[in-house]
Amino acid sequence: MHDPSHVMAKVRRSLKRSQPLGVPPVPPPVINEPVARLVSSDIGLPELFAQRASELKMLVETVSIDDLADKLAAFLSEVKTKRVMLTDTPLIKSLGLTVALREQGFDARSWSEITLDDAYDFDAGVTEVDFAVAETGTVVIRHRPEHGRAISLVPFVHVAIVQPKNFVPDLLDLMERLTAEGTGSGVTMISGPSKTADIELNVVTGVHGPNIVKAFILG
Amino acid sequence: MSDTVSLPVIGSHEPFDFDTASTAAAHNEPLKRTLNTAVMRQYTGRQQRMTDLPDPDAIRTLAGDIKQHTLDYLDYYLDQLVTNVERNGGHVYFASNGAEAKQIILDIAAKNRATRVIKSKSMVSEEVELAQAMELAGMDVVETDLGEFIVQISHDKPSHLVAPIVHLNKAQVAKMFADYFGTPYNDDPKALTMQARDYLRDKFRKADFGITGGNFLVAESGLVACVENEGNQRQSVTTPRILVSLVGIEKVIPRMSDLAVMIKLLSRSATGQPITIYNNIFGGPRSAGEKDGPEEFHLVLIDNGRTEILQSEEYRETLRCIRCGACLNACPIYRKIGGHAYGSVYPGPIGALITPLFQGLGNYKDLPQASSLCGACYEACPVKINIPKHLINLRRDIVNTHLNGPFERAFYRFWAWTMTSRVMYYVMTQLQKFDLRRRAVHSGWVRKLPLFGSGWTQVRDMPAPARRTFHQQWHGKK
Amino acid sequence: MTRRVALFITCLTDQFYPRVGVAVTKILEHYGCEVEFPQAQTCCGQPFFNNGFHPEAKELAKRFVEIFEPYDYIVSPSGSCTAMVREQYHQLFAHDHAWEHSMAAVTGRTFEFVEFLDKVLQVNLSDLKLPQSSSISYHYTCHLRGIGVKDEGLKLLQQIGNVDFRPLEKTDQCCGFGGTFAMKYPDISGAIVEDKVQCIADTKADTLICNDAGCTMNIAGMCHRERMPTKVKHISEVIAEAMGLDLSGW
Repeated sequence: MHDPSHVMAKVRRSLKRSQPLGVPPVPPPVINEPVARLVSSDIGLPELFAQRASELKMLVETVSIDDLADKLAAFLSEVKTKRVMLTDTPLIKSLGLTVALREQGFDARSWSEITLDDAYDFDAGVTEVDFAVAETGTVVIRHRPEHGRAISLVPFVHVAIVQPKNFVPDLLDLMERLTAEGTGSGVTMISGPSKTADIELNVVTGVHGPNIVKAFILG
Repeated sequence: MSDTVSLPVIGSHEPFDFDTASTAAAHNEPLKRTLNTAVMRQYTGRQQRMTDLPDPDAIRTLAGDIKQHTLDYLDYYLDQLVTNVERNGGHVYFASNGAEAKQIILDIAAKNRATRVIKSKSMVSEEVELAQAMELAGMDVVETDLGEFIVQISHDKPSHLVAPIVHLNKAQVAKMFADYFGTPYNDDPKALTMQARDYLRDKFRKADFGITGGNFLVAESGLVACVENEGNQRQSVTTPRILVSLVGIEKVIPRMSDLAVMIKLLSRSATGQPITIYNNIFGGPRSAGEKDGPEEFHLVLIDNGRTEILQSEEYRETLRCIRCGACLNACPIYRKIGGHAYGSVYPGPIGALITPLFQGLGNYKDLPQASSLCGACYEACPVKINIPKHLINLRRDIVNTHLNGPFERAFYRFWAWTMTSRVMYYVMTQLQKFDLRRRAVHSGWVRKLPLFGSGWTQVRDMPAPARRTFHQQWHGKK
Repeated sequence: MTRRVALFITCLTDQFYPRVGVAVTKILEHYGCEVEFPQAQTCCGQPFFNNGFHPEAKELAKRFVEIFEPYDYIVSPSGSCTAMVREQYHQLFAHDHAWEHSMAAVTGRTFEFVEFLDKVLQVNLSDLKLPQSSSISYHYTCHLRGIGVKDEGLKLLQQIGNVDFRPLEKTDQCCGFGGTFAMKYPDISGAIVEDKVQCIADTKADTLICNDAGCTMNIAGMCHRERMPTKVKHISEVIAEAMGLDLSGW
C-alpha cells in the first residue's frame, strides 16, 4: 500500500479515532430477507430465469443434452456465424462440441487454440456458466484459464449453456455462493445483449459486447 | 450551450456564476425539450421498477444504513479492503487529491510503457480530469462509453451522472460524428452507435492500459464492482495488460451480500432496469494460465475533499451517494436547466449539495439557494440522503459565515422580528395589503412589482390580498 | 367527545385566501369539531428556517408551540407550513430539553387539512355532490411528501359527486414556487411554472385543486398572466361548495 499523503490517517482523524480499530466495529446492518429478497423459492427457477432473461432480450431455449450439439449448430447457422470459439470447460469438452461444430462446417476453435487477439476475428463465442440467477435472468461467469473473458464479450453472438445445477434464486444467493466458493480472478454477470441508450434514450443493442445472447438451458 | 458555459473543475476554487449559466439554460428551449423527454422517461422508469421490490422504502433505508455504517467505520473497512486487494495480488495507492491521483496513474503507465488507454465511464475521473492529464502526457486516451466518447470528441462536459449527453439531441450528435469522422450526416441512433462500435473496436483490441472507476468496493473480498450496459467496461478488464481503477474512498461496502442490495437499487434508480446488462466484479491480476485480463491491477483510492465531509457528522451522510442520478431526474430545476448550469461534474440536487462541500461554500454559494426544496430528490434517493435538509443547512452556514449580503441578513431579521408579536404582524399585513391592493387597482392582480418582488412579476402576476384578512374576519365571528 | 381543533391559518392564506380559512372552519364544524382560532398566531418560522436564519426561526417556533399547546389538534390548510412544524421543529429543538417535550406534543397533534379529514376524522365524501358537474384536476403540492401524505386529497376529491376528474401530467412535479426561490431565480421558477401551467391547460379542466397557498399564488398568477380561465382552488372550497356552505362570511 502506498499512502504518501497519509490519507488513511486523515480518515481516522475525521472519525475522531487516534488508533486503528483492532476489532471489527459493531456489525453492519442485517440484510433483512423480506426487504431485500425478491425470489426465495427453489422451485421453478429455470422457468423464472427464462421469463426474466427474455424480458431483457436474451434468447432462451430449453434442450436435452443429447440435442445440444445439433441445436447449437442450427442456431449458429441461423444467426449466420462461421467462426466460433468455445471455452475449454468440462461440459463443452466432454460433449466434444468444438469437434461437432467443425464437422458441421464451422471454423470452430477452443480457447486453448487461439490468442486473445484472434478472438476479435470470431463471430460467436460459446461458454458454460457458473451460475444463472432467476431473479434477474443473469448468467454469471467466473474468469479462469479455460474460460477466457473475451469469449462472451468480443463476438457479436454469445451462446451460454446453462445446466440445472447453475440456478440460484436471487442475487443474494449468488453473492453468498461467490463468497463461499470464491470469485476467481473476477466475475462477469451478463443480463442480455450489450446496449446503450445514450443518444436521446433510444435503446440500441450490440454496442461493445454481443448483440445476440442465447441461453440453452439443459432440461 | 456547452460552448457558452465553461466549467471549473473540482479543485480549481474559483467562484462560479450560477445566475448567468442557469438563466441562459432556463431559456434554452431545445435543451429543455431534449431534457424533458429523456429525463421524464428515466424518472417514470425508476418509479415503475421500484415497485418490483417487496418494500421499496425499507430497502432504501437498509441501503442507506449500510452506507452510513461503512462511513462511520470507514477506517476499518478501508484497512480490510486494502488487505484483501493485496491478498488478491492487486496494488493499492491512496491519493489525497486529483494531482496525486493523476501522478500515480501516469507513473504506473510510464513504468509499464503503456500508451494506448481505454477508459470507461467514471465520475471521479471527470472530477479530477484524468483523461485530459493522460492526453497531455502524450498517451492515446479514448473514452469508451458511447456518451462519454461523444463528450470527448466534441470537447464537451457530461451533464448527467449516468446519461452524460442527455443535453444533446440526435441531430447534434450526428453533426459531431460527421465532423469528427468526415462521414456523411446520419442521425439514426443505431447507425451512429454502430459507427462508434467499429471505431472503438480497434482501440479495444490494441489497448494496453485500462481505466475504470468503481461503483462499489467490497471490503471483505477486496473487489471492485462496476455496473454498465455497453460492454466497454468489460473490455477494460479483458484486453489491456495494465488495469487501474480510480475510486473514491467513500465507495466501500462491507460485504458481498451488501453488493446484492446495492445492485438491486442502483440499476432501478439509475435507469429503471432490474439489473444492468453487465455487472463486473474484479480485483486482481489474471490468474496463472489466463490468456486475458490484466497482468497487473492497481487500485487508486482518492480522497479529494471526502475526508473533510467525513469529519462533519452532519454532512457525512452525503457521502452515501451512489451516483445513480435519480435525484437529477426527479428535480424540477435540473429538468429545466440541465447539468452544465451547475458548474460542476456533479449536477442536480446532489451536486448542489456536494459541490459546495467539496469546493468551498464561498465558490458555490448560489447552488444551495437554487432549490425550491420540493423534496423530490430525497424521495428518489436510494440511500436516503436528506438533500433538502442539507441544502437548508448550507444556507444556514452561508448566513453564519456572512457569505450573503448584510442587507439580506438585515431584511430577514427585521421580517422575523415583525412576526414575533400579534400587533406587528397586524401592522405588516395591513401595510402589505394596502401596497398590493393599490398596485393591483381594479383587476385584482398586480402586473409589476419593484425591488425583490420584480422577480415574481417578471414571469407571473401577483394576486392582490383579500379585503379583510382571516384574522379580521374571525374577529367578526365572535 | 368534541375535538378542540385550533386552526393554524398560515400567513399567505390569512392574507390572500381567507375564504379557505372560512371553508376549513365550517367543514370541521360540520364534522363536529370545535374550531378555535388562536389570534396571537403569526408565522411558523418557515421562511426564516428555509433561508438559513435558524435562531430567528426558533424564536417563532417557540411562539408557535406556546400558542398551540392547549389544543387537541392543530389543523392547517397548507402542507408546507405543516411540514415545517412536523419535520423541521425537531431539528430546531434538538437537544433543547426545556422545549423538547412541549414541541413533540404540539408537532404530534399538527395536521394538514386533508390529512386530518382522512386520518383523524376518517370522513367519506361519497354522499356529497357538486351542484353542477365540474372538470377538476389536482396538483400534488410538494410538501405533502415531507409529511407522508400521498393521494389522500385525490381520493377525497374523487368521492365527491359531479366531479369530472382530469389527471394532471407530472402532477408531482413542483410548481416552481419554493418561497423566496420564486423571486431569487425567476427564470428557473418561471420555466417550471410554465411547464406546470401547460400541463394544466392540457387537462382542459375548469378547476385545479392546489392545497397550498404559496403554490396557488404561483400557479394562479401564471394562469392569469397567460390569460387562462382555469380557477385554482383549495380542496376545502370544493368540499364547501358540495356541502352548500356559504363562504362569504359567518
